[in-house]
Amino acid sequence: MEPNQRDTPLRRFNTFWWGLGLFVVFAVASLIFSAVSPKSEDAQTDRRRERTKFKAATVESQKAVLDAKVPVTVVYDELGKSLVAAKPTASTKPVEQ
Amino acid sequence: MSTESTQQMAEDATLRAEIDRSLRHPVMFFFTSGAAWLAVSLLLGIIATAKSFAPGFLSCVDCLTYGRTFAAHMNVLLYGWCAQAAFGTMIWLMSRLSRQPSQSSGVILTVGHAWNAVIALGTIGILSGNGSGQPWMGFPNFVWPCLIVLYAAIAIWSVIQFRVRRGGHVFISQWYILAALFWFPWTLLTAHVFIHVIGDGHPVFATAINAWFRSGLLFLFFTPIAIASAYYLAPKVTGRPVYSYSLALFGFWALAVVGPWAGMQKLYGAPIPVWLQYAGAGATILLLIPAIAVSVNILKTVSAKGETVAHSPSLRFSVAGIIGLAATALFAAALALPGSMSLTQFSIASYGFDIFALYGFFSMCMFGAIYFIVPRITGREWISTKFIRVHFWSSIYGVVFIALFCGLLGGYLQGQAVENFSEPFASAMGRYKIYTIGMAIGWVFVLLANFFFCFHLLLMWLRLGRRSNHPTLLKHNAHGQVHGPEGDLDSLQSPTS
Amino acid sequence: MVQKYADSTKPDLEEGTNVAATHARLTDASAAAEREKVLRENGMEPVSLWVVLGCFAVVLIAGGVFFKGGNYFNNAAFVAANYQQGEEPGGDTGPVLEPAFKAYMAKGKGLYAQKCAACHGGDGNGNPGFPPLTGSEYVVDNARVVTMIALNGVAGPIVVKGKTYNSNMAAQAVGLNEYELAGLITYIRNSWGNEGDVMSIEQAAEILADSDSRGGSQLSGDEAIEMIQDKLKAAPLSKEQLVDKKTGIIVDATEG
Repeated sequence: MEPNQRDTPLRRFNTFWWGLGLFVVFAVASLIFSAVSPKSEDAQTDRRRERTKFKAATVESQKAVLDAKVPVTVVYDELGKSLVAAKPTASTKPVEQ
Repeated sequence: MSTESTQQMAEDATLRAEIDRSLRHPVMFFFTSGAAWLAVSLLLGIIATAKSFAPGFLSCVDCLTYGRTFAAHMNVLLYGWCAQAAFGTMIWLMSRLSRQPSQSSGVILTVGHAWNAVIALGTIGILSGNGSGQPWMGFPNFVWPCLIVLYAAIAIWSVIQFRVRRGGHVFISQWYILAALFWFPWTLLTAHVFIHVIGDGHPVFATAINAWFRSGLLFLFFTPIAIASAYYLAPKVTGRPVYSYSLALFGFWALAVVGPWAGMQKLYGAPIPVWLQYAGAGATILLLIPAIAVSVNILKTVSAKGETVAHSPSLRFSVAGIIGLAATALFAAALALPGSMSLTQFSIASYGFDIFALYGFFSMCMFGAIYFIVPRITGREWISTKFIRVHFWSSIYGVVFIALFCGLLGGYLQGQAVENFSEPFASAMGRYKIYTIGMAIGWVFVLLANFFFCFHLLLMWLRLGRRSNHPTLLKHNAHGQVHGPEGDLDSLQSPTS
Repeated sequence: MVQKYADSTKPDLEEGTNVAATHARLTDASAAAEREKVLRENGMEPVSLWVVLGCFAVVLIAGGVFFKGGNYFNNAAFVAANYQQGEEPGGDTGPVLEPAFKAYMAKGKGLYAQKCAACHGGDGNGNPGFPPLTGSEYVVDNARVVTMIALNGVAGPIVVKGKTYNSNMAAQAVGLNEYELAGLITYIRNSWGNEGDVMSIEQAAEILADSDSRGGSQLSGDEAIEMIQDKLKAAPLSKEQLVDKKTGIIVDATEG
């Protein structure tokens, strides 16, 4: 068989990079387009952002309590022990009537 | 082209053998690992379906809750079996049709191993509760960038092969494969980028893009690969030309134009713009056109050669798959209209449709391709016609049972019961319990089929196939043939068919 | 059979082709590849009329879906009997909502430029003879004073930020409705470094009522100073509260 005229290293190199480029071109174009398009400015979107920020802050602050190392089945025993071990402190004076 | 000199034929045969030898390792790896993942997916599917009617089944195992098992089942089916079968078929077909051996087999094989590793990690991720929760995109978030990169490393070589081919005619299958080569990264990357990067977690947007992706992956990647393999096998095995070239051309462009629009009709009633919904529905109906074109073309090509279809395992599976294509398109169109969607939208009909499309159409075509390709790349023939027969009939029974009876019928009846204003919801859901039992039974049939298929494939992989130059045909009596009993090595001197 | 091919008296198929040698070479190649038929795609059968009719029927159905479109995909058409749906007749999408701060500032900006900027300056720093509004105790501490001044004007000497101004201001804000007045005052009290709150419509109504009962004569400098201590009874709006952009009224998005 006569040698394949179309099979050159340059053509292979070209096709390699053009092919990879074509695989991703739509996604890249979408990313660029979305980056330069104006952000939506309606109240519902602002509210959503506030809400998600607020929720993230709440979850963060409650994490320490929720991630207790003590499993549910023994937590009351632990609580009881810690209450018994706690020293009694003076209570405040009763309010003057 | 109708009269070939013996010299030309000999050269062709040598070239074919060289191509097959060059692609031996990657293609065989894709097929065997794909079949293994199919088995895993079927087991997970049986567990998930069993939990639908017996929630206590395996409830002691934490990682096998319904949500995790079902998600793992679908994603393993898609990316473990369907994608790998598609890759193996696509690189072999493109190599054969571009008439050049592959120079990147080592790379493809390595990347194939990496693909399997990533899928395995992803499955573990889903079963440990870190899945993304999106149907068909359920792997944890680290997986999809890997899939894109690995796919590029597998597929770019086929693109290069197409470009540096000798020139001359481009065969029908090559159009479909070339299109699929670009449509797969387009749909996968677009869907993931839009949901994870651009959409910024907006839930309705993510659901809409996901619905589009599910349809796009099926109709723009799996469908063209299956059609390409059928267009190759039908003329190849029967020896007849493809029925109508212009119909093939028309079918391809119809799919290309209509395919990307379908998908968002699945979100009928959701707070997305209504034009997306009815454009999706219209496009899904229009997909009947390429389905009609392809199935008429293929079936007419093989119509005069009924015996060949019955005897050749690859052609039998491919023809069954093409009938499955027509049925899938019909099923999709039926489910796309509001009249039926009001009943089936939240029922098991959508799952039945997915399984019918992925198994009853795509997998059957892939089995046909595998039964053709594996003897060529291993140099052995299939050992047992019984295994192939069991594989074929169990698959058909199983998938038809699941999709039509349980999916379609069950879905409609479930929907009707739920819509019945006076019937309590619990009793309406109880009606469809029998259909989930049916689905589990159907999956058991399919698992049986796959067991035989896997075993058979494993034997071939271990080079334990039959040494012969006669193909394994599904004929009922091997005696009295012109070519003598199977396994004759000295039949080289007798005239070949 | 073997002798036939090795018989040198029989001609080969082509000159230079030794079939036996070719076949022997192919024992190395896959027998499966050897027996494959050549691929042919040049079938030129005419497409059957049934295919055309079938495709045409599909296009008709799909076209019907496209053109019926939104009416066909209208959820209301497929709702089951006895199902109660609440829906606004006419498909009104409702008012445009904005955070109160944004809406009222926008409202006030235009009015300020129109009515106040000529004398008090576009940047609120005043002009020779006219007091500044930036950091002015009549503006920052209490909404009542600045509103009454705007509604009634002020005559005679007045001390602002240590300096005495002795000129005459006519009532500028007469004829504004409650939303406009609240917007103007909000703008003055929240611009150029001033930090106040958003005046609500109730507050504006309260001050308008007080102003009416006063009779409309100009304030004096002493009266203005006295009013600084006099807080409004009604409450201001919170800045994030969503209001109808057109009317300034609070819209609770969770209702309706």
